[in-house]
Amino acid sequence: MIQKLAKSTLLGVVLFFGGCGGDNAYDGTNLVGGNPSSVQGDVLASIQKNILLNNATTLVENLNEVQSTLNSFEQNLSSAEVQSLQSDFVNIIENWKKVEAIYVASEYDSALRTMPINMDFFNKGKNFDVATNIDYVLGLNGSLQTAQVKKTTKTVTGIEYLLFANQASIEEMKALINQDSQKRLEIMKLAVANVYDNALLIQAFYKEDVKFISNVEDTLNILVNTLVQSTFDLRELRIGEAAGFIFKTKDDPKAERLEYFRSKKSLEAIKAILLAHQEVMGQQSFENLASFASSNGADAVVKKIQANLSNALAIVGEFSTPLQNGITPASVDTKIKRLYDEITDLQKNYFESLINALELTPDIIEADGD
Amino acid sequence: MFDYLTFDYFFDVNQRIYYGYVMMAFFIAFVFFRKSLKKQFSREVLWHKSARLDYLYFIVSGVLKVAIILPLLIGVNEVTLWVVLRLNEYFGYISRIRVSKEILLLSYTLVLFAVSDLSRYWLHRLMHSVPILWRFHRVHHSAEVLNPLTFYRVHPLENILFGLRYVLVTGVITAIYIYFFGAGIRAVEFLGANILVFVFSMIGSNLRHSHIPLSYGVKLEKWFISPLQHQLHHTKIYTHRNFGSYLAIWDRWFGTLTLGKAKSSKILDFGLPIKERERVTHSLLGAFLNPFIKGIKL
Ligand SMILES: [Zn+2]
Repeated sequence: MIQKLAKSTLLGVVLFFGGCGGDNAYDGTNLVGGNPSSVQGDVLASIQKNILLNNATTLVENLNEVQSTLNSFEQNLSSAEVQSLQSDFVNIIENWKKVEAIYVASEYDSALRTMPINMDFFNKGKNFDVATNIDYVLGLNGSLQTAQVKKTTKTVTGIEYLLFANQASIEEMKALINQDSQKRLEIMKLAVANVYDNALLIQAFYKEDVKFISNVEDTLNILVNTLVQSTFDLRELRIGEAAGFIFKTKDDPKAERLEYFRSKKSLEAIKAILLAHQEVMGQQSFENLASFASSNGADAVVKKIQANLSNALAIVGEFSTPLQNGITPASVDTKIKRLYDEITDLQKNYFESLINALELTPDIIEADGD
Repeated sequence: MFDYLTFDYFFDVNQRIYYGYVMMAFFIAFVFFRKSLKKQFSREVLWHKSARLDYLYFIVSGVLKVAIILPLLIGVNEVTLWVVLRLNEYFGYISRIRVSKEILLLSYTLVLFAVSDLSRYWLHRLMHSVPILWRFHRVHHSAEVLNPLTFYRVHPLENILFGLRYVLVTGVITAIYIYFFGAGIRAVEFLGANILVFVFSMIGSNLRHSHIPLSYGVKLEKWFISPLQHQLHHTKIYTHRNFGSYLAIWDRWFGTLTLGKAKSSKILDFGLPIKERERVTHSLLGAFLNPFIKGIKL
């Protein structure tokens, strides 16, 4: 009897403490974590609209324009037209890199998980396949069979090879495009159409999704994880690997490992990624992660991140020639090392903000013996 | 700063003497150990010279912790960041492993709790087995009557060691989790305390330092250290047994476990081991200085 009484009273006491925990409840005030509130929801809505959706929409518009340009050609292309197509390509990679840098859609929709590799094939060894496949298809007689155009070709990587070959001059490129009844343009249409379709899916997701704003804690974690991942890709794959700064390629610089070696647009891609980070973490006219974190006690680390981003962009601005000119087997431009180091520091500061947000308070119980 | 002043300990769920835990201990004692409870509140226990030192010590060491110890300790965030960066440097960056949030938080809670408990076991055991450390830990064992505040009767140097242990263990475990799983690592909490710490604190952590001989029974005491088992640790005979905090598995695996149930609770005679043959004066100065100067009595 007394045991039973004890048990039920015990339960009662536990429930009592559970009920009056308001004062001790976790008070999340940092970059990540914390309790959902409408203010935080507004920040996420702002990020979704002003960054995620906006970048995806710009990409869709770019691709749309390129599609109509490609369909408008009725005779041989002029040098100016080739040049204009090439600058359209730069627009595409700039916006695609922005979308890719903060690509959070994969976390919410499993169908969108493989999207980045549906869109381009950097550093998966496939960019070489792409050239081989395109050359193979171009060499075939008769009409173009879409089946022979590999999936990997129908990507940004494919478009790059179709428009720049192996660093061909404008005149060479013009000749290549105009030969064989402009077969190159036909393949390009397939590639652009595929990238466009995928970009549409991403845009549609950001337009309609409600999951991104619904769980603040999860979303903030996803955003930070994505920024960290993007920083590593930027540092290791897009700079370090080519410059011989990482373990795998230590002291073996090779410009060919750069992301857009054929078009010499690697620096533009890097700049676009940094700008995407700045949209999330810089001072903007709209609410973003930086404004949210700053007003939640993480101002110091936000400032450090902002400084990293503007320093890195300033270094990018110092280049007057393509990035690959600075990488030869014998030497690497010191600007590249500075950029690499700045991004290393950026990554450190992202980790710092991530760790601060965990609120690992010194637990005094633990500071005592027993 | 005010948060750390000793009075606030009663309202901090991360403190051993959080009012909820104390009330729970009182409740258990009231229901099952009415007689022992009488003893606990008797003048000879409550106003014993040893207990009076505990009260004074609690206040003084609380101030010392804020003024000296906390500023000295390296922060857990710094350790975590350092380890995360080293992991990335030496093992390379890896893409985050995706696991469900539930599994992630539960496993982190469990791992942190278990590793923390293991490290406390070993540090405590070292406090006993390394002669120089024992000189400091003796301050805690010099208590001749026990009450929940005896928990805080620990030499500041021992506080620093346990604080460092906490920072290192939490930092390393958290860093490993961040390395593999990314942002958003946290322990499952209840009212702001690790849920396991909360549960164990609710079932009588405060009785560890008391005259309430709560045993968990032979079977459970092989897994969890009961208050009675820790009381045995404070006796003059079993001083070098039962080093564990929450889990008994470490004592069992490393051969230092003594079950509470099997021992009569009547033999609970607390204080320094008999062979040290030392008359303890329970002075504050002695508690602080005796480890350094043998001439000053504990
Ligand atoms: Zn001990």
